[in-house]
Amino acid sequence: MQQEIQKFGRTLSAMVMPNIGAFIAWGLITAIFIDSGWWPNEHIAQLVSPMLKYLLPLLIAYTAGKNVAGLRGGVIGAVASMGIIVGSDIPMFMGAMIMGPLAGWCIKRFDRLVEGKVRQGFEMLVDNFSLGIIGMLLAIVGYLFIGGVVSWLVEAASAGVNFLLAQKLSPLLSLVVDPCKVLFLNNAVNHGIMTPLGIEQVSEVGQSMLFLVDPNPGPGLGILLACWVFGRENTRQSAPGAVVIQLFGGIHEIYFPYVLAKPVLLLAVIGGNICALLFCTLFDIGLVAPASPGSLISIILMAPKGKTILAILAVVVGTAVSFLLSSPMIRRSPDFQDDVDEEPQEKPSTDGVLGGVIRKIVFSCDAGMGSSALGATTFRKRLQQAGIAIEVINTAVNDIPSDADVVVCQQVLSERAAQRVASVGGHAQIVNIKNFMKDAALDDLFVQLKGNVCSGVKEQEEEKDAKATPQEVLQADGIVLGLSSEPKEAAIRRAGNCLVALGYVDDVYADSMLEREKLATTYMGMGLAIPHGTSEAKAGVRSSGIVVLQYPEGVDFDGEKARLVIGIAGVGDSHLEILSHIAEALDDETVLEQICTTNDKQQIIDILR
Amino acid sequence: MISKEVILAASEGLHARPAGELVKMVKGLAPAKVTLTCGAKTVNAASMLSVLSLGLKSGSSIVVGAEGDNAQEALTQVVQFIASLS
Repeated sequence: MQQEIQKFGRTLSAMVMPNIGAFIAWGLITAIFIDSGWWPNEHIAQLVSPMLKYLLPLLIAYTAGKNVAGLRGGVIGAVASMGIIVGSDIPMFMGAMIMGPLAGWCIKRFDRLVEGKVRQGFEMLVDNFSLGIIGMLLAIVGYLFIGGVVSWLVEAASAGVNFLLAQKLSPLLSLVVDPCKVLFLNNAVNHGIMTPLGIEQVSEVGQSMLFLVDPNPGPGLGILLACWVFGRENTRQSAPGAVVIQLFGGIHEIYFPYVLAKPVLLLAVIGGNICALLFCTLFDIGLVAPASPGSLISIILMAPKGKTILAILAVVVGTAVSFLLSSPMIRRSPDFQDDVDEEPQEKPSTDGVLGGVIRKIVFSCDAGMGSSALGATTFRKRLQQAGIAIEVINTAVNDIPSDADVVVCQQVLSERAAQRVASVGGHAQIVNIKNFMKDAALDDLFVQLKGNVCSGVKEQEEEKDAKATPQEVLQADGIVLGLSSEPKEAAIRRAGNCLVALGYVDDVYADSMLEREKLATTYMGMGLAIPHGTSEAKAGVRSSGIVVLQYPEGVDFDGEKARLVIGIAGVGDSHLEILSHIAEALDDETVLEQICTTNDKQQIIDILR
Repeated sequence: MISKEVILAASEGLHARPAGELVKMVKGLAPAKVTLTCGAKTVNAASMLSVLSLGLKSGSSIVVGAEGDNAQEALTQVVQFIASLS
C-alpha cells in the first residue's frame, strides 16, 4: 500500500519537480516587482499574470506528457492543456496535471495502433499530423468540457483548504504531512498537492501558508540540534554536518534516519511544525512561491515583503519547540543512533561480496535531486582521493539506468529500486544505507572497490582472453592506497590477487604466499611486511613485479602493525634484488613514513623504482 | 672491532627468511654490535631492512664485524650461522 502511494505521489511530483526553477523565477518576480513587493515596477510586473496562467501550467503539462510518452507526449500535453487554460479563469495546475498525462496517453495509443502500418516515406507526415489533429481535438474538448470540471474540483479543494485556514486549523495539516515526510512521501505531498494549491492561493491573496507546511526546516532542525547537544558518540558525530545541510541546504531527508531510528521523535517534529504553523496563522505569514529546497535561504527569498523576519521566526519557532520536545527523548537514550549505525557488518572477504567489475555506482532517492546528490558527491570525492576512477551519479529511484552496477539507497526505497532495476533489465546490486553521509555499508563498499581495483583489471584481461606480461616491476595499478585494516591473511591474499590480476604470477604463486607466511613471518619491522611465495612456487612467477598495499591503520602481523604490505614476485634471482632495492629505499624513516601516508601513487613509484 | 670473512654458500642468497633469523640472533647477542660488509657497503646487522638492502647473492663474500662486550662470541656465532646456510 505504501508502495502504491509512493508511486502515485512520485508521478505527481515528477510533473512538478523538474519545473521548480520556473516556479521560483515566477515567485521571485512576484516577490520583487508587484505593487506590494520589494521594488515595485509595473512594467516587469506584467510578467506575473501570464506566467501564472500560461507558462507554469504549460510546463507542467509538457513535463507530465513527456513522462508518459516522451517528447511527443510533452508537445501534445502542452497543446491539449491550452484548451483548459483558456477555458477557465483560475490557474490550471490541477488541470495540467490531468490533461498532460491524458494527452500523452492518447498519442501513445495512437502511435501503437499505427505501428508498422504506415507506408514508407509517410512516417513524418503521419507523426506530425496525428499529433496536430489529436492535439486540436483535445484542446477543444478541454476548452469546452474539462476546463469547467477541473475548475469546479479545484475550487472545491481550495475551499476546503481555505476553510481550514480560516478556522485556523491548518496546523493540523502537520499531522498528515510530517509522517508522510519521513516515509519519503514528502516530495509527493509537497509538490503534488501543496504547491498547486499554494499557487492558487498566492494568485488570490498574494501569499500562501501552505508553502510553509513542508519546507520549514525548523522541526527537523530541532531534532538534529538535540542530537548534537544531548546525543553521544555516533549520534553526536554526524549531527553538525546534518544541521548545516538541513538548515541551509534544505535537504530534510538527512533527519529521517534519526526519526526512523527512534520513532517517538516524530511527535517532536509534529509538535514543532504545529506550533510553527500556529505562529504563521496568528501573524498571517506565508510565502510567495514554493521554497524548494526547504532551506532557510529559500524561505528568506520567498517571503513577502515586510514578512521576512516573521518567516524566519516561523523557522525559529519550529526549531525551538521541536528541540524542547525531543531533548528529553534523546537524553533518555543518547546512544540510540548506535543501533542504527553499528549493526554488525561483516568485513568483506577479498573475494568480494560484490562480484564483477564495478564501473557505475548510482545513488538514489525519491526525487533524485536532494539526498542522493549529496550522497553521490560525498562518495565521489572519497573515491577520487583514493585514486579510484569509478563513475558515481545520482538519480531518482524511478530513473535508475540499466547499466548501473551498484545502487545505493535508503532501506525504505530498496524494494522500489529492485523493481526498477528488474524492469529495465539491469544487473545492479542494491546497497542499503541509513545515512547518506556516513554509513558502515558505504565504508564496506569503499573497501570493496579498493580491493576490486586489482581484480577489476583481472576481469577485463580475462575478457580480452590474453594476459599481457607486464613490462614494469612497479606500476600504478599495482598500488592501492588507504586500505582499511584487515587480518593479515586477507592482506596477503589481496596482495596475491593483485599480482595475479596484473599478470606477474599464476594463482599457484598467490596461494604459496600464505604458505610462506606460515613458515616464517614476512614482517620486517618498521611497519613493513613483504609477503612472497615459497621457493617451490618460483615457477609460478611469469615476470618480476611488486604490488604495494598501503594500510594507514596497519595490519596485525602477530602483534606487530604493518602499514605497508608489499607483495613480491621475482623471477630467478631477481627476487633478492627486488628485496634489496626495497630495503634500501625504505631504510630511511622519513621515506618510509612518506610512503605510508601519501595519497600520490606517483610518489611511491618514484621512491621505489 | 674484530672481523672475519665468510662466503655465503646458500643457493638462494640471503633472502627474507634467513635474514630474519640472522637479525633475530644478532639482537640476542647484544650488547655486542655486529656489522656486515659486502663490497663497499657496511650495514648494521640488527636492522632487517639494512641487511636485506645488501642483496647478498649466493657466493657473496661477507665480512662480519663485531665490537663491544661479547664481541668475540658474537662474531663466532654470526659467522657460523652464515656459513651453515645452504
